Amino acid sequence: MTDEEILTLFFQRDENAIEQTRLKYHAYCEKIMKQILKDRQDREECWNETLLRVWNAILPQKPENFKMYLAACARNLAFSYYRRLTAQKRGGGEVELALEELSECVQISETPEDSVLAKDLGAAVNQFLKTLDAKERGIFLRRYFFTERTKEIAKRYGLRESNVLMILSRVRKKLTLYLSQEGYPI
Amino acid sequence: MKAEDLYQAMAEVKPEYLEESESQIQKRSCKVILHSALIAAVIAAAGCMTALAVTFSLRDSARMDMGISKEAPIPEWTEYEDIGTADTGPEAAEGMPAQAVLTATLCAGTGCAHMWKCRLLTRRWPWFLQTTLTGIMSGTCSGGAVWLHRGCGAGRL
Repeated sequence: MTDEEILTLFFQRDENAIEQTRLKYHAYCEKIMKQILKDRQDREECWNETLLRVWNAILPQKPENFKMYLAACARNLAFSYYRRLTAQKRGGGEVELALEELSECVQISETPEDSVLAKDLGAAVNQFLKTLDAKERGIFLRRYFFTERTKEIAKRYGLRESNVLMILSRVRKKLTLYLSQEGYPI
Repeated sequence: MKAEDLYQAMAEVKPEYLEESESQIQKRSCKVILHSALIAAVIAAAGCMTALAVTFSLRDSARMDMGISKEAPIPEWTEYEDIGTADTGPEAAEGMPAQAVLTATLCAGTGCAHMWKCRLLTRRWPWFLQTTLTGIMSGTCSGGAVWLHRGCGAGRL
């Protein structure tokens, strides 16, 4: 079934849309969630909640790219789960390393001004990604959106792991510079 | 602001960027498959061309060696191609292996049907090719400097 047909089912509020989404994209989203959540049961809960969110949120807006919309939903929910679990000391996985790497790009502080800035961060990240070339952007997103291991990224792009690490380091430095120019505290 | 905020902000990345990173991987996989197929095709083609070149040059050289024109048929080359249906005479009935019967038939009489091959191998081809082809001829000819032909008797030429 095509994405367009699944979306039509969602718009008709046909529950078969959930089943079709599960059939087509469960494996793909599972792979993304697996990088963030170690526990299978947590991932299963997260996936069910993703489907519920999509069911509730898909109207009135129609996503242009359903696959990526689902990927973003699954990732965000998995990360919310991760935050909750780390509070209970049950977290883990590749995301800890990714967060550690990203911490060099931002100043760790908790001021009201920062929370306002954090809201616009998504737009700033998009603007920053626009300045990168396709390969750098791809590698950066594989690491910090899909939370893939550097080894895995290297294999997929036909590079050595050291090259991937170097590219990521270079992009993080560029991001730090970009965010400081945009007025974010670094 | 925390690293977590930055990580969370990544969720707002435009879908086209995500799609782009997905397609980069797919393109890469396709590229690897195409390269592998191309390399395999080149190796296969080179092998076929070598085999054809060896076969034809061998035949032409043999004809030249024997002083036979390219058009003239050589019965010995085709006479025993089908070992299973070849008339091998009374020896077959006695339970001899087909190859042994064939060799004995070829080498019977005053001439040797395989002698041109022995001569060719020792004169014209380098050592490794000589060894390989001698092996293919499965013991009918022994090759070597003395042009020994097993089926016909030692040192005959």
